[in-house]
Amino acid sequence: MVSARLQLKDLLSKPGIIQACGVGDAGQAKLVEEAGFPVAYMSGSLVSLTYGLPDVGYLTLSEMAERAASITRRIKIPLIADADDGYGDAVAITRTVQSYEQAGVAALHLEDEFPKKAGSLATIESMVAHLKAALAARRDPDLLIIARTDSMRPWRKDLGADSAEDDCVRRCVAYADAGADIVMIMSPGSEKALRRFCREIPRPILSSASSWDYDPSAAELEAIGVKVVIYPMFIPWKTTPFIRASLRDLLTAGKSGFSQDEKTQRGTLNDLLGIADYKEIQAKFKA
Amino acid sequence: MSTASVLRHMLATNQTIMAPGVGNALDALLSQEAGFKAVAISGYAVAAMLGYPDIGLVTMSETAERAAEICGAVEIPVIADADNGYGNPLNVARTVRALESAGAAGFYLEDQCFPHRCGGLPGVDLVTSEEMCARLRAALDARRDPDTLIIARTDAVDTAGGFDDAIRRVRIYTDAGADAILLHGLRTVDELRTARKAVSGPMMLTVGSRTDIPIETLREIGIQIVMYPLTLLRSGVVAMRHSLDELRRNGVISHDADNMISMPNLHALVGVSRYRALDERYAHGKER
Repeated sequence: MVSARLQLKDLLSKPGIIQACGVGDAGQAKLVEEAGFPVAYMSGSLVSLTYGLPDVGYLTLSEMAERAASITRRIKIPLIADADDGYGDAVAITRTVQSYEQAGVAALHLEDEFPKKAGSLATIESMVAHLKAALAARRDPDLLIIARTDSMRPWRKDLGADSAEDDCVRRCVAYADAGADIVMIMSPGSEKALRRFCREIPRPILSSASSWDYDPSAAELEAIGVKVVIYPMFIPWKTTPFIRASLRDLLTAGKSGFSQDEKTQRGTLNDLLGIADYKEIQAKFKA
Repeated sequence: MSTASVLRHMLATNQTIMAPGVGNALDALLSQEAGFKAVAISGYAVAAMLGYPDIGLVTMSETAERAAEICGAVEIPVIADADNGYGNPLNVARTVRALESAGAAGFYLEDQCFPHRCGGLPGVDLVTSEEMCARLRAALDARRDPDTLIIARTDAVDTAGGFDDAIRRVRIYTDAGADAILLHGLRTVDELRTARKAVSGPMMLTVGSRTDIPIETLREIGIQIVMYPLTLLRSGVVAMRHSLDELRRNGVISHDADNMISMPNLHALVGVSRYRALDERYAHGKER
């Protein structure tokens, strides 16, 4: 069984775009793995959702690392994890990387939006310092460090005369030079800009599907040159309307009203969660 | 009666509270057993017990979890260490809710930048008093039990602003609604007397090797909460090193009463008899 980290590296080295669905917990991760996704993505927004919190910087490093560990324990596919801004300075980043590494993640991303100040990003030097601290902190060279840039976000007020695109390229090249394994670009804005980024940045590019005003297909993104596409909030966005309607119905009707298909799927939940393994252990080690 | 109201009552009746600094539940059990009426959590001790220096590595959730363990172990009021609140006012609000849920009777919140550094180490940077007031407002707003004691701590004494800036700040923090104040880094009786005259409301002080003032003097000056942040940790380390040395040198260790707590005593300390009683009472599904 090839380790999850080597699996990810292998996927990155082969042609074809990698689709990673967002998960907030181990249960969702098992569904994503079952569906056939080669990689799962631990989204900070989704983890916040499981805490009933908006994604505004509430969750701590230890909460995120613990959640990552609970996920990797239950799936065989690699996990890419959101590490926000590293949760502090270079010292904190050391702990972040070591905690996430210990938690078994295959890759983590660190962003250049820090400190959280309306409209501006960290300087390139500061972000490079963060990346260098992260790279120095990892013990397993197969753990991948992803540099995320928010340079293309429309809310930026710190550009001066530069174009966001030029700034993005400059930043990403610097991050790649610093040793980042993958570059993640939020809200690239246009296909043209994204093509330029894929051409000029010497690293695999990761894009978030929710960064787009439209719904690009994986094939379209692959043709542009994107290597990894993530769907951070796909699960809650798709299921929340259904959950809301179902809850309303339950309250109104006073009955669950499961369809035949729903009853069948209900029965498969324990299988998904690996009940067979537990039964086997129980049987095998009976006194 | 909540531990917060117990703490308020102690302050209202002008008691001088000696609070040993604790890093975990066992520390708190020992302090309660020794007769102390309150304990205060030392972030330094918590970090040390996790194997870290006190430089902002311990997260808010770990701090809150540890506070819950400590509060769950003892009946006496526990004053928690809220560091700098762990971020912006939103984070401060979450911190306060978490510490209150954990059962803390109060907490101290400082005006250091994020990330926090131990007050005695170099590199301590402060936020403006306006920003600290924003933290305090968020804390006051997040507090659900009005008795929960909010102690505003300033680290200004050991920065360029010094004593004068510290006094200026704690007055502002008191006006902003802090229930008590702590001037970290005050060392001498004179400084304490001057500070006591300059600020109103309950004062908390941390006593260590650099502020080694006896409790009678502090009582007379009018300090109400006296915390000994590292007494247990530092004396404990000496005893532990001694034992480790002895074991390594001799290949055997003395189990005499003067060297080691007896097993019955240790069982009593961690409350075995209480659990045994519960077990007997509810054994076999029958309440007797």
